[in-house]
Amino acid sequence: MEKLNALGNIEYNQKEEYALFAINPQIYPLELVYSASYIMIDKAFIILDGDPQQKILVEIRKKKPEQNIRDLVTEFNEELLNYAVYQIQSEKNRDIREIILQRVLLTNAPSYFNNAEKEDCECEEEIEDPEGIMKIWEETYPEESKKELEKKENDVN
Amino acid sequence: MMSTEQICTFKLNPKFYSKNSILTTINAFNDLCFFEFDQEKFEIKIKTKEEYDLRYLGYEFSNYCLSIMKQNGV
Repeated sequence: MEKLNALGNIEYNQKEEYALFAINPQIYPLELVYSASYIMIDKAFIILDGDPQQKILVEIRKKKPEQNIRDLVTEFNEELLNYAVYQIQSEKNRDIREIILQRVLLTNAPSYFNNAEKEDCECEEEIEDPEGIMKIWEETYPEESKKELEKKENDVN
Repeated sequence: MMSTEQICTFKLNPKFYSKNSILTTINAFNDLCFFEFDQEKFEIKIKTKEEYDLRYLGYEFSNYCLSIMKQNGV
């Protein structure tokens, strides 16, 4: 068995053409190993062994003769790193993600926001008029309101 | 781990592969091979119905098991 890296956790059996990758579960938990292995199963044969608490052993074998076992090992290692970073980042962003998700789900009930806006907005508050004194300006004084409208339009132009 | 004889026998580590995933895989591969599964030793014996490379069939079997484990949200 030839060691492929300085750390000595990757061994390569040249005769049988497979690599043995020893993983410390304290660094890469079992879920990460499953995820990285799952990504690799299209390109290589992956067999898990060892102890999930102490040392996880991953046997990597090539599927096609033209493949390079070192490339497969490197790719597997990169996938492990990818998933580890993703997990750390997703743990950091968990609170923000939950807030965004809550907001998204709440927008499915727009009435919730409409009611909230009505409560907040004083200008749209309904004013009680039990004696019917209030009249709509445009209906009561149509010509004056028309003139005012035209004047406003001219000012804008 | 695997032999290239007509009958291929291999073990999968029960700490990594669940019984259910192995049984699901056996079910999926049922058209291709005959299976014997020793549930105590976690030993799987494969005999092909037609001419296949038994060694690679064993590896495909373990890959399939792994995908089932992942799908089940391990």
